[in-house]
Amino acid sequence: MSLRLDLQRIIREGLINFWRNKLVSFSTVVVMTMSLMMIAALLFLNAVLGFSLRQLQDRVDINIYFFPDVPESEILTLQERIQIIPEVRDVQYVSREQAFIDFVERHKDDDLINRSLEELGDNPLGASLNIRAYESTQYEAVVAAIESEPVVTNSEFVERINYYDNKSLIDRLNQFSDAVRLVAYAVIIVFGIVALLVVLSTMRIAIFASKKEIIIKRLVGAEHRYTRGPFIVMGALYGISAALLTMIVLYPMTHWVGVYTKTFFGGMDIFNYYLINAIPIVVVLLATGMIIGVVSSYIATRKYLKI
Amino acid sequence: MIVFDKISKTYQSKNTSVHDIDLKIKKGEFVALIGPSGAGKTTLLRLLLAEEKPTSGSLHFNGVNIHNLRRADVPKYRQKIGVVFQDYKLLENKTVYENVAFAMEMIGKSDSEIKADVPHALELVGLEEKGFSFPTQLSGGEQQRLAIARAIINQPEVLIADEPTGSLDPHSSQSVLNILKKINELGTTVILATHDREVVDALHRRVVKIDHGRITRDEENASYHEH
Repeated sequence: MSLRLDLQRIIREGLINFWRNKLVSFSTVVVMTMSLMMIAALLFLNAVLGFSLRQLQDRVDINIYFFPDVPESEILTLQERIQIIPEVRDVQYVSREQAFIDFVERHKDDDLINRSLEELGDNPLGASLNIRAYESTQYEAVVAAIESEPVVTNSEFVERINYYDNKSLIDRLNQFSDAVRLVAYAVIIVFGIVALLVVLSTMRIAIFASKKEIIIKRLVGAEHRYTRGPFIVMGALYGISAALLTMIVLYPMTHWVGVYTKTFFGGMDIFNYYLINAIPIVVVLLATGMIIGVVSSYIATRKYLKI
Repeated sequence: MIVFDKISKTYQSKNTSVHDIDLKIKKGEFVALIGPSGAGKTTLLRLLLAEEKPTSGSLHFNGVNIHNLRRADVPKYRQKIGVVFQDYKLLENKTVYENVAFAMEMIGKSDSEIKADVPHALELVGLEEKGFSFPTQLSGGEQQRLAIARAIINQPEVLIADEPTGSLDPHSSQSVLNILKKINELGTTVILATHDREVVDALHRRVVKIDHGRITRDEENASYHEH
């Protein structure tokens, strides 16, 4: 028999059974949707955590403060040299003038400082370079590279490098990120397994209702692919329906939750995240739903195929 | 064609069992398997369908010991046998038409062959008007006839009918019997398990009687009771 004809019949039967057993299909899809919602919630949680960690990491940088009399050209040359270090994301040059403006702006309400500056009459601040790496774990390497620069080792040029002030903060942040990621992955795996087990039990009940049908098919000479095939197709259909239903339910939910996450997690709007990542999310949900559905059907039918 | 060679089957939980059955059925024969309920008729048929394995002895079909078949080969073997089950065993999720079509799909018949043959088979059993009904919407007699249509559609080598007239009125019984005779005339071996005296007497073919799991009588051109 041609494979195409076989496949066509198996898919047709799966579709017909899915439609005719409306109640069973509906309840299985609902249970599966809840499991997929759980997985989607974990994806969002992971994104929110990642975003918050990135926000924290972005606040970490290394500042090199120069003495006021260091020539600007020396600093700009150093900026170019640092820029080519592979781990460095960007190097921002803050000129003496800019540093002064920032300082005044920051202390505009402090009369004492304002008066002192007026009396001084000159800009006492030096220029600085703010360096950010791609990852917070790379600062150690970046500092080592910077410290090999002759301009930096020259004690008449550099007043202070604040890496060592931030070092313990950076280390702690790195440890924290690692721990959070590990916990997040563990939670995703555990809940993924729970979701699989819940769906598997539901499918077992659904297929138990069709036990008689499987046995009859076997007795009239149906081969495995004809008895199991339609159930596999149904499993995949449950997965697809549940994934699409989950996407629909997520729209109002993320919209509602997004209002809270925006203020709570440093500006991340999960509704926006859902809209931007709709395609990858739907792909993940479809793939997860279909895999869970197909695997559950395969396992649940095995028992009745021994006749 | 079919050889039961010292077949015994005992169950731990049930009382029905068969002992030392020696039975040869030739191609094209029409055999009535008679005996009271629980005598072991259905057990023999289940053994023949490879639904059960014997406790001892062997069962050969066209020279092959069917209980030595690999599980993957069992469906191919079953496709050679048409069965009318005592409890019909119809697919409740499928319409009358689909129940018969399914049997043809199993052996890889094309859609056009299915479209041509199924209405013909339904007409033969008088269900041509019920193609779109589901088995639960049919009467007992109609379900029985549907089971027959499914069993004969692929022109099997052997047709097993387990109490096919059990729940039928005399008129329907007669029409079922006529179908079985017709199938047999076309060359199919028919094994009919029944305890319906009238059916057996009307047939007047080989009668094998089973009582308490043993063959107590095997006679050609016989009637239900021994003369």
